[in-house]
Amino acid sequence: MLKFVSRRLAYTFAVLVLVSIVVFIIFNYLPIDPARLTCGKSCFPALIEANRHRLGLDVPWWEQWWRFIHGLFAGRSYAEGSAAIVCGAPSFGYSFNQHSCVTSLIGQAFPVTFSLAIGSFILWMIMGISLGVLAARFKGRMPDRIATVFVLVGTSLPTFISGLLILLFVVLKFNLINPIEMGQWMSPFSNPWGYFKEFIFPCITLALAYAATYTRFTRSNVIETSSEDFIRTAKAKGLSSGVILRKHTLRAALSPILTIAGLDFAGLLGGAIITEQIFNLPGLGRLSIKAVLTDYDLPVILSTTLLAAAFVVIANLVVDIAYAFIDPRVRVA
Amino acid sequence: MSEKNMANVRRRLIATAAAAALVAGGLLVGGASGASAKPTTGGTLYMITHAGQFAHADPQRNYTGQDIAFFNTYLYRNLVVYKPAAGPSGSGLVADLATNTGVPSNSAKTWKFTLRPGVKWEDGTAITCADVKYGVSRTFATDVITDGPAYALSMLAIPQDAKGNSLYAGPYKKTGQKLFDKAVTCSKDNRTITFNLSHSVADFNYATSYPAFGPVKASKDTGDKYDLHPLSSGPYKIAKYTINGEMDLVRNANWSKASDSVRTPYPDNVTVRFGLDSNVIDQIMLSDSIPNTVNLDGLQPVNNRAFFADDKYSARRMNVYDPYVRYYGLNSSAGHLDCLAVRKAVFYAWPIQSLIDLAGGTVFYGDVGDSPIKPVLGLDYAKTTGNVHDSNFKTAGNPAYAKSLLAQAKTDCPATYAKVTGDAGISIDLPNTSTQQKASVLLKAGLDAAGFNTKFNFIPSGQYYPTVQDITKQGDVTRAGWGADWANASTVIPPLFLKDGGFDLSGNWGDAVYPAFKAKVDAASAETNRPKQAAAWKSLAQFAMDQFWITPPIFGKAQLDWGSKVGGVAFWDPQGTFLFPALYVK
Amino acid sequence: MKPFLEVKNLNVSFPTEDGNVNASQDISFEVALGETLAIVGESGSGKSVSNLAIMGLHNPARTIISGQAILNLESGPVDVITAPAETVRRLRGKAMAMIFQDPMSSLHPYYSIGDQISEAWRLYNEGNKKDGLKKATEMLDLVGIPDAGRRVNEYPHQFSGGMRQRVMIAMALVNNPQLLIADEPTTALDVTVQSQILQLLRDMQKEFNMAVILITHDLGVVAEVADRVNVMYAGKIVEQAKVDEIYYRSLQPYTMGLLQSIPRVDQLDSHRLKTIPGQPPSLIGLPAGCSFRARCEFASHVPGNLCATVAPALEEKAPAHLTRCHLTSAQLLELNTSDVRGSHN
Repeated sequence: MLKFVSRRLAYTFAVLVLVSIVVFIIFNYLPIDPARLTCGKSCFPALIEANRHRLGLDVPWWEQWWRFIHGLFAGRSYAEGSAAIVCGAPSFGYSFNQHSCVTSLIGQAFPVTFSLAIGSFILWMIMGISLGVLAARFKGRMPDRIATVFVLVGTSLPTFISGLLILLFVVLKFNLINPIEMGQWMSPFSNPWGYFKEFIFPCITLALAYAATYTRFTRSNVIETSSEDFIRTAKAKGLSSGVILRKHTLRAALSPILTIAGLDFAGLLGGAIITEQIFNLPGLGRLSIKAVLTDYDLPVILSTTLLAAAFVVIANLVVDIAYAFIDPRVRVA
Repeated sequence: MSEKNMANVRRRLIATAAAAALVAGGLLVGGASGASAKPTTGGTLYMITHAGQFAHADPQRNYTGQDIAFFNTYLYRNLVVYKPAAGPSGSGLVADLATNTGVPSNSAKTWKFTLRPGVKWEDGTAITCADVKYGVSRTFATDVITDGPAYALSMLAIPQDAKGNSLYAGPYKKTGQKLFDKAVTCSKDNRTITFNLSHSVADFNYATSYPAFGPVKASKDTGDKYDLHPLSSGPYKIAKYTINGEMDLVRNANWSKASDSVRTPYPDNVTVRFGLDSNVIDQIMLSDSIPNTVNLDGLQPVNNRAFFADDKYSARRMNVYDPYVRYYGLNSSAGHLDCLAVRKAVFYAWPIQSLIDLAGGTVFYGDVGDSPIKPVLGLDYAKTTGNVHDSNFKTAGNPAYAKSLLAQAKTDCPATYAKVTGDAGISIDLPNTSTQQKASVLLKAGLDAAGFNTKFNFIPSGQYYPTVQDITKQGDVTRAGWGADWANASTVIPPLFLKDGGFDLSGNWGDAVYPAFKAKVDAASAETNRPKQAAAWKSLAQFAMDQFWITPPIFGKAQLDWGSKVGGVAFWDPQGTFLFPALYVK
Repeated sequence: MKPFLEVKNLNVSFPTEDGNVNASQDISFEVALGETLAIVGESGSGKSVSNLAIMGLHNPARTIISGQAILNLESGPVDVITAPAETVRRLRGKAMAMIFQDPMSSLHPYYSIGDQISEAWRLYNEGNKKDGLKKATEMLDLVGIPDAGRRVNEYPHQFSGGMRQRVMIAMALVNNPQLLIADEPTTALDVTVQSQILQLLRDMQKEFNMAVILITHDLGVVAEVADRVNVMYAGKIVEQAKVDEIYYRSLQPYTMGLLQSIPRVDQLDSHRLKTIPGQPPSLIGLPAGCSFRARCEFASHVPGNLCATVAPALEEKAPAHLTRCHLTSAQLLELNTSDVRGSHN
């Protein structure tokens, strides 16, 4: 097990290094000159060069990459004299558009995205699994038909529509949230009600989309597992149907869902761009979309890309390890 | 593309005598609420926007009309400011931090401003000449203080190296500090600041209306981070500013009404909410659910039309001329449209009305214009002759006439004719947006009918201006927009039509007529007699139109909306936005 | 004393879109404690279906069951067909237990062997998890799994097929059931392992004094363990007798055919195996007459077209020997001797 974990850790690390290099190469060879793009309106050659130096783009990409990696461990400093800026380790660089160290921008955005991800994750797992189990148990009957409609609606309605519908026709229509307050970060500890009100609707929006997939998946897995021989064995033992469902069917039927759930959750940790945009949540999705579309803010783009990649790769690792605990066949193999 | 996205054309403009002419044109202009009620003090004024942040809050980096208007109203004291008044008088300068609007001498090569006593920073210390001098010096730190106007760089008497870099590197590196100390001096009593310019600038005091010429306290300067929390000298101070979040302004106890003859800070708090979804913004405005709100963005087209069609909103809306002229540059450099007859054919084939209709129609988007100078510039605008006033001009485009012009081009300049009608074709630069994709269909129909072979360069919208401003990447016809920096065509004609002007998309410097044109433009820029200067601009605008360096221009319009509890709403012509100083919460 | 299990006129059918599948019809038999009844037939003959009905393992929503299956418990007789589902559930794993064909898939892959046996034990016994594991270890030891103390914590995939079937047996017997239904318990196993498992079943039967129903298609297995035999064809019992009767004095053409298809060590050199020609009929909308007639070698001996029009009843044609055939016992015995037995005597 230790060997397995350490090998996977090494692999995870290698993937992240590779992703970082690829990102630097891509941005280096894009036909876009950020120094020109962010130089402002009255932009003459001398200003472009000054701006290029300011952004740290006046050195080859591998040196930019090395500065980035070095900064992760040793911190970075920018500009000179009384205008000097220091971003301590672990430094993801400095955003010249937001005038902050990227690490602190991420530090502010992450709790938002995490809250959104964990909230919607809990909701969609509860909704998806319970509806899927109901549909499987009452296959062909009313609960199954309701679930079918839910799956159809959930999978065909994109979040930018469902989110807007929820926002305009539920939240704003019934004045559930003051729109001017929307998207303000509320601490769950000092203001639990405000926190709940802020996150419940975006979480529902995201959860609806995911729950549909999980309903379908749970339903088919439960139906499939129910016809397994070991479920018949469990019945032959005299176990009640409730125990069989909880202990035997779901254990086997839901384990594969864990893999997908882990990856979906990790994907969301990288930022739910559309939902964050609609509900004005200052999370990682907003951070990256602003950096890409409005600011062309390289350090932020780079960091959020790497972070999203890291979440997915690490989630893969965690899921694999968790799977080893759940499925004894994997454990030994 | 709306002006919101026109990152590179956020110049401002002053209206003087133009308003009357516009009203005569049968168009909506000016405030709707009227000046009936007496303003009330107190309450919270909200402003909402889809943008994630102010482009800049640092005075030296602030270059957007709306942002300048906002900060000059609430946070910055400036040497001079625009008069906080609706209509033409709002374009006049008034003394603010200074006791006068600037005293020129030495053929306007030397400008002096004397500071008002008793003006304090947010921290209670007095604002001195040294603070203003330090503020101006920051513009020279080009690797820290970016995006701001470069007037200090080009106007102050500080030598430059061969590449155009100032020999003064700003207050952080201090290289060449002595050069700066010579160009900008403070009197012994630290109350009078003197600017020594490298050449005569008759309207230098208008340049000082930019906060780039405002004070910064050296000990509070945090370089790049100053953009997040500038030290206030105005009636409010920043309580909180989070990007993608909000900016909260509260009253600044160290500001005193006695020291400020300009500002009327009615609300107790001003809160700007950033990053709201456009649909949410529209919903707030349509339902008036937060009545003490001003919409900084304008509504989305469909909602905008509905909002302006329904009388119940009439007290909460305004339709005005914005500061912009929208046009397409006709690239007359060699290998492009280096033939007058071809440019003229483009001009008369141009389906301008369908482009206007696509963008929202005459009522919301703008009118067909006849000059690169917009009538709101007043003194410098005159109706031109020829071009859109020619009997052959049709707003739908006149392909038959354009064809005849092309036929003439076939003999005048066979190579250019062959290019634009042949396989190479005529290429039009457009930002790659869905609206411009639609526009391309109209353009192709219009130009192809005249015999052109029309092609398009779709450029990702974020990279559009940086791309087309590179003459090697520019196509034959280039979509653009421009607004004057202040009420003088010195901020229109030189930038648009001089090689080093900064925004010359006409590629005209290879043209035989260029040297003579440039000489006249330079002379006009240095002309200190304002009426004479205005006459020169009028004739140069006529010349640019006669050369068909641009397509038929559009004089743009903008629509503003606000909530029912916002009082005192008016348009601030020179800033192209709300007259913030007059706003109050009912 | 009454036999432990009495099955009377048990019918099981599955409604489908094409019609009712009459999977088992008019099944009646008895099994006493200490006795082994073998149920023999081809796949699809309905031999499992009736037993799953006794265990109550059919999906009630998709099955129609009628008749009786009475367990004569110490507390009194219970008809498991008509008794409430909850009552039947409380009998499963306690009074009656079942083991299945494929021990590979019949154990839950995610739980340890000990957990699974312990779960069965704790359902009917007071005791904590530790007691359950102790009991599981005892049972594993009993069914001949070496090093039971260690292996009790292992998972199904760590066991061989034979060992898994031993685990299944251990799990089935953990609550001392009086009836054990073994559904093709050796089919999926190697030949060498098969006899070990059969031996184990025999030993366990003695140990626990159980009634055992052994479902198989393998007449060789039957010969080894059964006391009595039900031969099934197309959902019906076609012959019911003591094992010797079946082997030496079968009164059923189908059984005779089955016996001839067994490979025999003493005939390998001189005989080719005989097979029954044709396929069993579909169980949906069975035609009138004898279901076996199309494949029956002796149909021509029946006068007229009786085989095609009248379904033969299950009749006692010799003492304690029931069969479904229009031929008389004398005719059948004669045909059996001349054809089947005569071939090698």
